[in-house]
Amino acid sequence: MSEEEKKVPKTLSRREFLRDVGVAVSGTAVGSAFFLTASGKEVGAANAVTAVAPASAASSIALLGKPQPPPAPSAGVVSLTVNGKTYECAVENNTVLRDVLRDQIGLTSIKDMCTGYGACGSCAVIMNGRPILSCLALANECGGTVIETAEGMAKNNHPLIEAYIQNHCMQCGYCTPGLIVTAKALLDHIPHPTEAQIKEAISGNICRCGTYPAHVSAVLQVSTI
Amino acid sequence: MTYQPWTYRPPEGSPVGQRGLRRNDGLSKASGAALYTKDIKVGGMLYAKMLMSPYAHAIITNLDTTAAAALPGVVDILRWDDPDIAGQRSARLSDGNQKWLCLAGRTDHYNHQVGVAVVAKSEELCDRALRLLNVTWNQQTFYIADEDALAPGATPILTEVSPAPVNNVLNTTINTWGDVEAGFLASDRIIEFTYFRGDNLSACVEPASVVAEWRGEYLDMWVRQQNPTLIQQELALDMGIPIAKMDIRVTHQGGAFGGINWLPHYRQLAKIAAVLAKRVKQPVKLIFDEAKFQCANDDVGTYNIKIGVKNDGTIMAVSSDAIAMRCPLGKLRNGSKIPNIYQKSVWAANNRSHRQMFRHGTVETNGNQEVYSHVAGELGLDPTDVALLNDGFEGQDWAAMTAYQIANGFEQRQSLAEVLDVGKTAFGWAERWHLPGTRPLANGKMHGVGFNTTIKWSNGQAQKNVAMTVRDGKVQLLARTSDMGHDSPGNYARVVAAEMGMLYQDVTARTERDNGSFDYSAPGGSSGLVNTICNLVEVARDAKQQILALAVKDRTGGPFFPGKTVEELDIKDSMVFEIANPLNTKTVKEICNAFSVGGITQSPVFAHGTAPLVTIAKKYQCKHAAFVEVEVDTELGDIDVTKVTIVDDEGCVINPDACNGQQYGGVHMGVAKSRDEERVYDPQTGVWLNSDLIWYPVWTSLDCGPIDCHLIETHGGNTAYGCFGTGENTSALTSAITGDAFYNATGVRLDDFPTTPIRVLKALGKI
Repeated sequence: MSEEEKKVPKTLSRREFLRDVGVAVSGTAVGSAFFLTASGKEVGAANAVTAVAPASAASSIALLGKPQPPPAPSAGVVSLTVNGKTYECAVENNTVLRDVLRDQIGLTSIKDMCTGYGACGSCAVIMNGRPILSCLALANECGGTVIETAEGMAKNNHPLIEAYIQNHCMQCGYCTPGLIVTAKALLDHIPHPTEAQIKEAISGNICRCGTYPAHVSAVLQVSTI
Repeated sequence: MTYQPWTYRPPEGSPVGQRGLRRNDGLSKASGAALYTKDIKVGGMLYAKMLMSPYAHAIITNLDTTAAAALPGVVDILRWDDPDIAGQRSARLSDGNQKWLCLAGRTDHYNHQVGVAVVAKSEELCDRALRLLNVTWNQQTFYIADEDALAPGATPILTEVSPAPVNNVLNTTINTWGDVEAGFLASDRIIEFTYFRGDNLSACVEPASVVAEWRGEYLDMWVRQQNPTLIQQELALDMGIPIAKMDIRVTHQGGAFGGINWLPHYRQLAKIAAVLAKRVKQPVKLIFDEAKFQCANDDVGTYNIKIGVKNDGTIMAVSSDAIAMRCPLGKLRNGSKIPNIYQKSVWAANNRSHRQMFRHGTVETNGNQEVYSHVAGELGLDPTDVALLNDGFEGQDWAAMTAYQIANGFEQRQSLAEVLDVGKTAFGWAERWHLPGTRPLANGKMHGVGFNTTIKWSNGQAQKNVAMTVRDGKVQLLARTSDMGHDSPGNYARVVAAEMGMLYQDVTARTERDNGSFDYSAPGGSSGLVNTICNLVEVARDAKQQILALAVKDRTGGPFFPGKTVEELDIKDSMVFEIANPLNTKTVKEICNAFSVGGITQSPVFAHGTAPLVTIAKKYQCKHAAFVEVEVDTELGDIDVTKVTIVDDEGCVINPDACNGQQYGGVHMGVAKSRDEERVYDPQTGVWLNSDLIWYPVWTSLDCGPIDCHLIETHGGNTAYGCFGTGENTSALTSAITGDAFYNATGVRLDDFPTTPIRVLKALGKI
C-alpha cells in the first residue's frame, strides 16, 4: 500500500442529524416485538418488529398510544413526571430522554450499554404505560409524559423487585434495571404471560451474563400473585 | 504439619452451600442503585474523551487543536507528545516484557484511542471538540491476517511497542513433555488436521470509564477493574504516586468477565485520567465508549494438530504448531495421561486489536475439544469414552492421582468419571449419541450431539491480607474486591459466617473501597473467592477465638461466662453458648459491645493476616463437561442448539445459586462464541464492520434452548474446602462445541469457528 497523506473526512454525527432535521424516532428495539412499534398498537409475541421513523413530530407523540398535547416547538424546558415527581428539565433539540433522566434527574438505573443505538434495552423506561428506549426518544417530545423507572418500582415495593432478588436475576447487574422495567411493562399488559411471551418480551434486552431464565422465573412468580 | 485446607469442611447447617440466601447486591442492582464507574459523578467533574483512529495503522503527521481548544466549554487538550504523558507506558498481562504507550502518535488498529485526549464540560462537548481536530494521518501498511504479517518481507508493524516485535513476532511459546516422535512411532494411527478460530469479542456491556480526582497530594480514583492493585502498582512505580496516597475504589462492573479489565488500555486510561485531573485541577471522568469492542479473544489463530493414537483410543502423542497468541494443549497436559505433548505457537503482530484473556482458557478448551472429537471420529468411538480412557494428569494415569490424593489427604475420587455419570444421565447421552451422520430428523434436519471436557480452574492460593472487625454485633470485612457478578460480598460472608458461627446476615462487606488496600482477591473474578478462601477461613477462626476470649474475660460485673474456658464455648447463629449447656447463651453483639471502647463503634475484635502457604504442588483434580444437542439444517446452514447440559465439579460449592448462574451464563456465551460470534473486518481498510451491539451477535433470550446445570463436589481443589472457581470455565468449555455436534450430525468436519451458516455450507460443499 502506498503511503498517502489524508485528512479525516468530517462526518455528521447522529445527534447533529437529529437536531438538524428535527425528526423524533419512536422507541423501537432490535430483536424484540415488545417495545413499541410505530403503529402504537398493543404488542403481542407474534407481532413482527418494524422500525419506522415517523413523518412528523406530532405523529411521533401520537405513537405513544394515548392522546398527547402538541409538543413544544423548540428547545427549552420540558415537564416530566418521573416516578411520581414532576421535574422541569432544560433540554436542547437533540437531547435524548436517557440523558435527561441520568444526568439531570440522577436516575442511575437508566444505563447506556450500546451507546445510543437502541440495540440493548438497558435504557428502557415505561412512558405513559408503554416501554420505550429512552436513548431513542427526544426529550423535547416527551413533555407532559409520565415515566416509571426501576427506582420507582423499588420505592413502591413492586413485587418484581423482591422476585428479582429471590430468583438471582442479576450477575453483573448492568442490564437488570432495564429488564425489570420491561418485565413490569409486560405484566402491566399481560398479567399472566406464558414462558414464551416472557422470553419474547425480554428479547430486546441484552444480558451478557446470560441471566435470561431467571427473569422468566421471576415474572412467572409475580404473575401468580 | 503440612497445611491441608482442602480437608476443612464447612460446618453442618452453615451458609456455605445453602440455596436461597439473599444476594447482598440484589436490591441495589434490581433498583438501579448499584453504581458503575459510568454512573460516578463527583462535584466539579469534567469529562474527557480520546481521538479514535479511523485507520487500522497510521501515523499522525499533523495535529491542529486550535479549533477544538477554542470551543467554549473545552478545558484542556492533552497531546501524545506533551511531557505530562509522553513516554508513559503500560504493561500488558502475560505479554512478556512488552509495554505500550498510554497515548501514542500512531494507531495499531481501527478505533484505537490515540493522539489526543480532550477535556470538556460535557461528553457532547468532548465529541464536538474531537470532530474539530484537524488531523493529518499517514496511512501505513496493515495486516489483518497473521499469515500476512509473518510472510517474508512483510513490513514491520507495532514498532512503537517496547520492545518491538522482531519480524512481526510478538512472542513464541514452545512446550515439550515427553517425546512426541516416539509417541507417534508407538501409535497405530496418525490423525492430522487444522482448525481455525476467528476473532470474537468481550462485547462487555458497560462502556469503560475511569474517574480521577486529586485532593492535594491524594489521588482518588473510581475504576472498573478486576485487579485494582495493578493500577495502583503502575501509578506508583511509573508515575511516582505513593500507594498510601491513592484510594482506588472499585465500583460494580458491567459485564467484565476478565478481558476488558485486564486490558492494557484500562491501565493506560487510568494513567491518562490521573494526568488530566492533575492538569485541570478538577475531577475528570475519562470515557472510552468503544472499549468493549476492543478486547478480543486470546484463542484466535490457526492450529495444526497431529495426534498419534492406538486403535482402542489411547492417545500416545499430540503436537500443535500454531500461529496464535497461545498454545492449545496445556489443559490436555494437566488433565490427561497423554505422555507426549509438544506445542508451539507464534504470536504474530497484527492490526486487528488488542486481545487479552477474555473468558480466558478458551484456547486450551478448544484444543481438548478438537483432539477428543477427532480421535473419536477417526476410530468410531464415543468421545466421552475417549476422554475417560485418557483421563489422568500430567501424562500419568489416574492411579497416580489416587496415590497423590492418599498422600495429601484428599478424597479418593475420580472427578471425570463422576462428572460423566451425572452429565450423561441428565442429558440422555445414551439415547442421543449416535455414529456421525446417521440420524436424520422428520423435519429434514440432521440430529447431532457434541461433547467436551477439561480440567477446572482456578484453585490457586493468593497470599492476601484479610482483615475483619466486629462492631455492634456485625462482622465487618475490611476489603476491596471487584464485583464480577458472583455476589462476592455474599460469598465471603457465607464463608466467614460458617467459620465464626455467625448468621449470614450479620457479616457485611462493602467491597468498593480501598480501606488501606486489603485486597480480598487478585483477580476478583472467577478465581477471586477461591484465591482468598484460605485466608478468610483462617482469619475468621482467629476472630472467633477473640470473641470467645472476650466471653470469658473479666470485666466490671464479672465475665459473661464465669468459670468457663474458651474451649467450653462455641458460637452459633451469632450467639455464644456453653457447649455443655446450650441454653446458656449471650449474643456476640452484647459481648463485643461490652468491650468496645467509648461506645459501640470501636471493635474489640480485630483479626487479620494470611493463611499458611500450601506447599504441595497443585494438581488439577476437578473436571467439568458439557453436552450439546443440535439440529443442523443442511440447506440453510443453520445449527439450532436445542439442549445443553453442563456439569461442574466445583470441589466445594460455596453459593449454588451463583454457581448455577455462572454455569448458565457461561454456557450461553460459550455456545454463542462457538456458533455465531465473530468480528468482521473489511480486508481493504482493516475497519471493523460490526463493532456495535446491533451487528455483533450477542445472544438474546431467544437464541438457545434449555441449559441444564449440575454441580458436584469432590473437594479436589488446593484451597479451603477443596473448592474451584467457576464461570470462565463453562464459557471456555463450550466455545467450540457446535463443531463437534455438527460432525456428529453430518459426518462432515467443520474445524472453522464460529460455525456460521456460511462455514457450514462450505463444509458441506453447498457453496
